[in-house]
Amino acid sequence: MSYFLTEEQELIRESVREMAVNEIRPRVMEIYDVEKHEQFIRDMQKRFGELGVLGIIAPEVVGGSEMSLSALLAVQEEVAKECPELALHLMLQCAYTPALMLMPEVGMKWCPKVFSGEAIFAGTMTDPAGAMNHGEWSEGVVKVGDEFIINTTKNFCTAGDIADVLFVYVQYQGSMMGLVVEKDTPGVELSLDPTCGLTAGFTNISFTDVHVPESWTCDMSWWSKDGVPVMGTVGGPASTLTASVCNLGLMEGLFDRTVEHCKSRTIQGKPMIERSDIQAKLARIKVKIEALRAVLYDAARLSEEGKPNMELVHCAKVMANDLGAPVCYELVTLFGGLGFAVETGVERYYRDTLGLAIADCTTDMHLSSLAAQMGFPGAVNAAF
Amino acid sequence: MKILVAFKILPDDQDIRVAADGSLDFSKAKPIVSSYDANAMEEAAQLAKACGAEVVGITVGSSAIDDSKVKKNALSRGLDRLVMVADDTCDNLDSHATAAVLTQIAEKEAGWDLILCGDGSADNYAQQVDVQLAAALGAPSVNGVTSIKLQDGCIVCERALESSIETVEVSLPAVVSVTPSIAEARVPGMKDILAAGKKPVEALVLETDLSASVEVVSVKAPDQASRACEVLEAGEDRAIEKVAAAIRAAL
Repeated sequence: MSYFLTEEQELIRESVREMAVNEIRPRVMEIYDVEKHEQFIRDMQKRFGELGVLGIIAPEVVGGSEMSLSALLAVQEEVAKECPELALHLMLQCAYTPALMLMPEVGMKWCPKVFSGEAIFAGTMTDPAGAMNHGEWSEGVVKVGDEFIINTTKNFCTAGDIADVLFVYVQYQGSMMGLVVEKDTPGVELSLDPTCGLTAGFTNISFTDVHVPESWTCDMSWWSKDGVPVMGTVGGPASTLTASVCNLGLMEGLFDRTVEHCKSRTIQGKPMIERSDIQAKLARIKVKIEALRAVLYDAARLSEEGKPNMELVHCAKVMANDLGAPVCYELVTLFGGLGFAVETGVERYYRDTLGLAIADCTTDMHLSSLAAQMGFPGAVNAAF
Repeated sequence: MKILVAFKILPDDQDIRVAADGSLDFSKAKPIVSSYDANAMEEAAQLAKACGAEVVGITVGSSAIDDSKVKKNALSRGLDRLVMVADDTCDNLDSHATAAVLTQIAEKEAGWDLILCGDGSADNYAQQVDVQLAAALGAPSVNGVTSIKLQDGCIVCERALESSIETVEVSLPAVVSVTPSIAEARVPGMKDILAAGKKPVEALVLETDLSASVEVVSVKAPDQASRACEVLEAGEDRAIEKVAAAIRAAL
């Protein structure tokens, strides 16, 4: 058993593993299909709700289980082995709870529905000027009386096309603010934004004169103030580590598939796995995967214990980003042409890792934040 | 009403490795509930929910099964509590000895109405424990059951035979072994797992005289046949007949 996980967390991981293999794996290609991705995500959301993992870190008062960040990471890791986008989606269903709880009316209305799997939540953050380029965001909202009126556009919203409720980041008087908008609110327009991987459901959303009551807003200046990202990540340690673990699970899922392939595929009559050059390659990749796991879960444990180490958090994301593509290249090419064919479901890992390297900030942004954490002169959080 | 579920803890066969000499290495195989017994647990849980019964898991094995995570794993599958004999002299018991120890446990759990188990364990699949347990307890036994309906003082079971479905009425108390189709084993969720740690577990002292009726000489994996490779030219005369002959020879 891992040093980092308790018995209950290990058992939850094993349950999710079983569900992922039996229920996600047979249908995973549906997430890349424009016609099928919504039903697939809704069906999996319902199952996650039945298993109780959507509210895994949320307070009990809104139907959560109040478990640790490590528990969420373990669950995401297992899901990511089969479907990295679903792991990212799972994170988004859990990660906004603290912000929603700042708005009790919203939290009490929507958290139980999301955690039970009935409803889907999406966060819309990326501004056309750049997700972390807050200094160039235009003011997206004005206050009129006791309500706010949003006029802005957001890009690359995961599950934006199917979400029942949206959390919208806007700049207000120079600092960040969060607003909750229900789907079908007048003024919300969606359009699918095809990407090269992860899901068919990335969405551009435009908000035109969208009215939101003040009780459905929260201050996020702790994250970005006066046009400057305070934390250097999208949402603090939890956000960065939950994005990083998706790439860890992705690499592990592809690694396991590759090992099985090498056991059955032969070269000159002998299984590939018996070749020492292939054994060495796989062993080296295993080293990288385990090194990432150690850094990631160590950072999570420190965060859980109230001693967040942001340097380690940035290290974890950089490692996850930088390992993803080369590891996938090494593994996919062991399949030969079969790895390149869409129908085998192997090449998708290579495409998906690119999306995960961008989600929750790229390597360059995390390196600038890490430099700032280390106190290098002139270093600025998420400078890119 | 009290339902006992007899189950086996065994190594996860996905992680069993075969050494060069054919011997089996279990060191990386984590202990799990036998999959067919997990179906029995789920059926017991569903019956209990319908009639307000208590579900008690009973098992026997080496001291390794008296492990916190193993017990929580079992208790997260619909059991209300767990009673076990965990003793190193009980490692790899044959069916007869297993049934004898389960008899000890069942007799301690006086007043039970129904004992369920899978129709065989996922490793040996001897399909003997249920009938031997029933014989030792003096209870009727039905195997291969695909559905159970509770009635007053009895159960009505269906058994899928080769070309028909047999319906059997059995008075309680009874021992019933079930097929996997009886109930899909649950994937334990958060609530099941978190509740499992709070459920009672009782470890009994072995009081049964274990005299082995079967001696295991060795357990080895079968020899793997080398992959044959014969290339036949498609353009040759009578190539198809040559392919057919090569396949027949290889079979």
